[in-house]
Amino acid sequence: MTIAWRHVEPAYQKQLQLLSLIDMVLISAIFLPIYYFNRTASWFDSLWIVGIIWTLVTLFFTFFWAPRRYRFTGYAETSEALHLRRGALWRNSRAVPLNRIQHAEVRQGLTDRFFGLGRVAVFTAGSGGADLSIPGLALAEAERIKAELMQTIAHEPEPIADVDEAQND
Amino acid sequence: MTELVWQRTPLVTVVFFLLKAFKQLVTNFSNFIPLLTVILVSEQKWLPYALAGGYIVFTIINAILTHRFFLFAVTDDAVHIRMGVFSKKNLTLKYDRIQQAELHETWYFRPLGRTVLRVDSAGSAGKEVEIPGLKVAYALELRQQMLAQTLRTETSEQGEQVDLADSEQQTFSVGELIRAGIIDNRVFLLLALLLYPLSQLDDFYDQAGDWLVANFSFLQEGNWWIYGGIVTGFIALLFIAAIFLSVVQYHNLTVSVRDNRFQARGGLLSIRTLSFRYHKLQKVRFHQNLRARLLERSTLRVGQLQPMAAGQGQAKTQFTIPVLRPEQVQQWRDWLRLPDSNQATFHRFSQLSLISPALWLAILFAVAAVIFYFQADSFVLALTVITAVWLLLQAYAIARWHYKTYAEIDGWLVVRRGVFGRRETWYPLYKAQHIDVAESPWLRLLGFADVKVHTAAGSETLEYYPLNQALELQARYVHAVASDRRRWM
Repeated sequence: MTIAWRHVEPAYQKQLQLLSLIDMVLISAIFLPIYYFNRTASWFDSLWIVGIIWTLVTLFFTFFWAPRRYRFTGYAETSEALHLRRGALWRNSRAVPLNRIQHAEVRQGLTDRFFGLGRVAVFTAGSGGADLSIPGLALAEAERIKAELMQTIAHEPEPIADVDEAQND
Repeated sequence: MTELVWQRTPLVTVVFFLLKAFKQLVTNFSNFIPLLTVILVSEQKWLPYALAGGYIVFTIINAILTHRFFLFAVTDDAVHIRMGVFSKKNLTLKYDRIQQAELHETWYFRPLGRTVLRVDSAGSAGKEVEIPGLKVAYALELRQQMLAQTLRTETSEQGEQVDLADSEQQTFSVGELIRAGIIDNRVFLLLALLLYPLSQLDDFYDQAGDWLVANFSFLQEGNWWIYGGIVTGFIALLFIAAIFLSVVQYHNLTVSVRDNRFQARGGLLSIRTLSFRYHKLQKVRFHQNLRARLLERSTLRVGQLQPMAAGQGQAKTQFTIPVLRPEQVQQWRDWLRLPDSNQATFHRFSQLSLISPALWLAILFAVAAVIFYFQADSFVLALTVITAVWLLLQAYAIARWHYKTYAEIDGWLVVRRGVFGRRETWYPLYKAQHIDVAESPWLRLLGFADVKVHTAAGSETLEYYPLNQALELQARYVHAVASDRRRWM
């Protein structure tokens, strides 16, 4: 069975770029005061080297990591499971069988709202956070997926007892 | 909905809340160490007493208030709990969501014929609730009601959940329990627990040192063998104490099995009853550490869906049998309907999975060699030591790979591992929660991927499949789960 992967919204790439930029700015916001108060220390003499490294890392995330991650991110709905693949360097494709889904929700964070995106989070039993979270969806698409999942869960047939269990009852 | 009849627990349960607060203090002890050092450093002599007194008064008042505000109500399908002194908490536990209900007959409730009912519920927002001070008969009835929701046929039973008369049983002699104590010896844990607070308090050493010098002056004469003897004796004493603890904890351990209900009951002072129903099973693990292998015994642990909130206490509430003879292991295999593992062929993972640990070890030791080169007086000696350690670790990595095998038998995934000990873990595949295919950059370079099977009681990684095989395996497992209509929890 081949899986028909669907791409997420192109705005997701921009969102990733923005998020990585925010992270890099935060890192420099932590380091700059440290530099300022330690100007006399010899180990921090060469600010320009640190600056170059910072720029290179930022460029790496903006023009390599974000597009790559965006390109690979995809989801698929089959009759049996919900699939999600994500990652830029460390790739992971996850499959959650529909009959193991406990509940689903649509989430919209601050940057999600800025780009008009939403994400669907799906929970199974036994683990802490969301087991599968599809990012970068148009809000309407996210709502659709959630509604469909809820529909499937609601119409799931009652589980049948184990054969042995039935005999013993 | 019927009117809720709120009940208060009897007054003795203040003891329960007190002990719970005290237990919390002990488990969170390390958090108070900074505070303790401040106290010790400060000049005020009264400060420690004031703090200790304040703590005791606070705890007592808190326990009394907690008891005053702890209310519960029982209806036909749920138990409602209201608690909290300042921030109120209302809990409703539906019986059909309850994973586990255990009676904990603690030593202070036993003479009063009362007990603690501990309930675990399912789901990612799992909660653990304890109702203390119930009359034993009532607690049994309540537990009965909770667990019988799914299978109503058993509700008519009286008294013990598992009727002792027609259940299959396993009993454990004191000799077996001593073996259990040897196998699961917590001496080293105890040592760490004792040493950690001591190491935090330099002042204590100063004072204790003075005291030691005053009282054990013979130690100063350089009789190092006495030191050695004392330390060895101390450790031996702890070892025996730990064995004794295990005998007390599992005293009269009895396993009863009937109608897919498994129950283990034991304990000298506090009697613990652990039980599970077959359909809730998520994982079975037979474990032998080196001591257990020498004694030819195994430990069994049955994993169920664990509420996340359980946190540290998790291992305690899991269904564990500490010591099993080989024939008892066989009996458990039959009870749990595990397929015959002798029929199956176990596979090793690809040899390629050795590359990455080998690479890391090589890098690590190259770095270590360079550091040693600048530090050590004799380069030859440094090189010899480094090489010996590297060879040992590398051999260990290979042995790990050699002993890690897996098989798929009749819908169960079995993974065996262990260089010195042995561990055999069984997962019912149709209960898997989600399945991953993971590729690290390293794996992708070689065209391989790992398959990770996540179940409600832990996950297992099957390493190094060619990518298309990994995807096939994932598709097959997903199909197996999705097309299975059996109840899984």
